[in-house]
Amino acid sequence: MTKKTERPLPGPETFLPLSAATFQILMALVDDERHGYAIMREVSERSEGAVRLGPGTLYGSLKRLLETGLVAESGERADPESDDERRRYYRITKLGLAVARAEARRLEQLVRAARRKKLIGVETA
Amino acid sequence: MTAAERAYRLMLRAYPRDFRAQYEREMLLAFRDLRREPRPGITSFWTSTCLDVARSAPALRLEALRMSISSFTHTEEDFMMKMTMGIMAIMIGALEAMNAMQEVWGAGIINHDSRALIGGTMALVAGALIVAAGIALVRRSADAAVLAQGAAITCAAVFAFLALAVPLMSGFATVLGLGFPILLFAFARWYRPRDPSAAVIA
Repeated sequence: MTKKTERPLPGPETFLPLSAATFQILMALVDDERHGYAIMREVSERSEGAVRLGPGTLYGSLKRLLETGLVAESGERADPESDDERRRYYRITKLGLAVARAEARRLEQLVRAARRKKLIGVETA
Repeated sequence: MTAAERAYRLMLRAYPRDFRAQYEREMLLAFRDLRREPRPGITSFWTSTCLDVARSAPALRLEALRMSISSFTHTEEDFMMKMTMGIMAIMIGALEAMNAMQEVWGAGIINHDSRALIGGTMALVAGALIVAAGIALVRRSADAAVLAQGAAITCAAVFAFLALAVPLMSGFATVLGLGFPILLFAFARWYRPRDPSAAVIA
């Protein structure tokens, strides 16, 4: 019988800190699976236009997210809201969700620390 | 396809070939959708498109280069190690076999020394086994590691026996006949090329 050595799955903390684009993409996929343009639109709408992902940044990040198992492809189909051609849809994985939660907690701690230092949450003169 | 889409497709050549093969169609669709959005002006649209390509393409190119270097090193390391050990085994095995043949012919056949004849024949077989293991390593056969381990154990046992029972071989031949099989056995038993997939993708 051959002895199989399995590499343990990496913990969510090993992926932190995430780049802004990566975190935005994961957040866009938390509540629904989406195709590339739908991710770009969701990020732009959620940030009220402050964050705009271009196709290069989006697909470069998606490639890395697929390779690290934080996101998975969930098939190809036409978007019912638009015309037209079939598009590749992406969904967040369990690991991706855990990583997004860990990143959100990390950012929350940072904001709390900034608040304690009165960098935010107080009226500036 | 519109002129703008053709121009964008041309810009996508800045990305690595594998990446384009996987995502070019999707990127063109996203570009088309972006162009349909109401925007303040064509200049700002093209500026942000160029900036997006300029920011993401070099990083992806660098990643692709790093991956190809890592895979090249892995293949090369495996090739070089097996080739070096294989050539060494062929040369040392042939040297031992020639030395043994000389012993068989000179002392065994001409001088009718039966101990030299038996000892020389055993050393000849051991040398031939080492040569066979070397050829298998150079050809990178599937069973090269098993053959090399078997040949190394046999050769070491033969030379240990000859050193004790039939002290006919020269000191150099004995050291080589015992030392090289130990090195060959260790290589065949424990050498494994580095696994490039073990690298964490940042």
